[in-house]
Amino acid sequence: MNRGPYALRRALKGMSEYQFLAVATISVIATVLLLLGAFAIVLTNLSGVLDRWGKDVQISCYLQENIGDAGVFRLKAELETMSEVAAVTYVSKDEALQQFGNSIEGLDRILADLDTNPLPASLEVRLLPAFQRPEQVAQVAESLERPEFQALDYSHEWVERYHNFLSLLRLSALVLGTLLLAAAVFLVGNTIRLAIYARRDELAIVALVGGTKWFARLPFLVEGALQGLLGGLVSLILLRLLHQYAFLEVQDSLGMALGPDLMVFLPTPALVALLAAGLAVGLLGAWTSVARSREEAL
Amino acid sequence: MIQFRDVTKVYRKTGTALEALDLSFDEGEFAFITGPSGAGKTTLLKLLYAAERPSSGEVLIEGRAISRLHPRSVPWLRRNMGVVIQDFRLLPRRTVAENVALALEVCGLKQADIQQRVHAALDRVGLRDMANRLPTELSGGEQQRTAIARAIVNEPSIILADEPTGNLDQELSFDIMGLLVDLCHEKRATILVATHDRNQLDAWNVREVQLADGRLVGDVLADEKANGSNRRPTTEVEQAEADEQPQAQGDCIANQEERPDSRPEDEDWQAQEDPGEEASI
Repeated sequence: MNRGPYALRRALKGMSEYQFLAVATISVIATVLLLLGAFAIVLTNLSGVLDRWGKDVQISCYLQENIGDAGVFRLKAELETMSEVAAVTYVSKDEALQQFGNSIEGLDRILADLDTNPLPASLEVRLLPAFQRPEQVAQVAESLERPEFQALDYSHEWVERYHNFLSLLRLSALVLGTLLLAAAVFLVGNTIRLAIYARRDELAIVALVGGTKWFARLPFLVEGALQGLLGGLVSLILLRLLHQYAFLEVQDSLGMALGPDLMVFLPTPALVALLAAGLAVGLLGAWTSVARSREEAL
Repeated sequence: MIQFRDVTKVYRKTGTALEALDLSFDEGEFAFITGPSGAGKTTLLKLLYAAERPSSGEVLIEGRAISRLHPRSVPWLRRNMGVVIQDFRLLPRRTVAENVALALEVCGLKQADIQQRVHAALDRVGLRDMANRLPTELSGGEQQRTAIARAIVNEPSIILADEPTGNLDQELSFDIMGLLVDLCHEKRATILVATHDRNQLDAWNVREVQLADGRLVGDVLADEKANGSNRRPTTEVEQAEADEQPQAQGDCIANQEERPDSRPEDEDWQAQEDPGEEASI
């Protein structure tokens, strides 16, 4: 049986006969997948930042001035028994001042001039991974409320806003991605429709000499699949270049603030998914045209 | 072999193309289907290769009602047929050999088998040396020979030719028709040729089925033709009368000796093309 090689030969011949159309289609698929890939890189990395921040989420419980060592020890032990809590660390007034002084260069010299230490001592509560989502952190913080604490701080607004921003970004990516992929399917469909039109004489002969529908369809489906795969490959190459020369630049600028692993490349499953998306777009586009064609052979 | 039983075909746009047609062809028979434009010649052939379905009645090949064939089975029917049409239907960007090979590629044959059979078919139609030429580099007659090679490469039991000489001059027309007649002898294939070329009809001593306005108006067997135009019975009464007499056999009896050395003058009695619905495959 040589239908497979025949279909491949016909598909390649079809693409070489209408090179401009093939190149245009591959370019559009590559552009769409590049956009989606870039979006995926941004989303993956922004999510990574949220995960890292989540791991760092700790609730600072600032102690009243008049709590003695015994009181601190009792409170620490009490908090450590809570099921959501991973660890509790005591930060004395002096340690707090020292940490604050170290946070910005030169600040320690300014702070040394102070007569009194204005910073309160605190218990830093780190949560177990299962309780690090913004809404859970807020819940745990509520249960930590004690009269011995003058204030609780866990930067919850920041985290929540960031979380919401990411959710919105994911939704936008999904909507935009769907639209872009639909447009790509439409375009492949049109290219294949033109290919069918250009080869209508051949299709009439194929029908006349007893070619089955699959014999007639296969070259067009292979052509669509090839265009989709090539579009996917081109998009991967461009994505790598984009990551190398644009995203890593961003990392150099923002890495200090957002952590050293900002702008990692996509993991292998995501790259395979992009290629598969290209293949699916090509096949689906070709199929829509082949199935709607009124040629007898198809 | 082939039977039309009370077949009527009505096109929505152009009306009745065939009406109550009762007709049969034997295995290995060569027959002309003739009549003026719009007589229903092309429709008759289209019904045989299932490009059209009858509005009523049945078309049978070897007892099988192809008029009720499932669309998925049509390709298998056509693989057992060779179809040749006036405009050759060759792919201009493919070589002669590739054009012929297409009929075998659809069957999924191996390349080695394809090559061998294509060469044999091209050999048979006298085009072996032209295998690697493009159709555009060939004469009209050579192009039609290529189409015939494509039609016979599968060794079909039925060959249908719709105005195969319509685009050719008289000399080439006789060559092509002679080739078809020879093939009928060699392969024992049933060959039906739709034509309104009076020169061909007169030159070949084969059965002549005459249509007009979609009806069967005459059916002249080869022997009757040779004896001076008797008409085959087309009504039940005529059939009953005819049954009492010995039936003439019309099998593939093209009388090549009668083929004129000097070609008859151009006197196609209908120069116009068939109407739209019959113009294409």
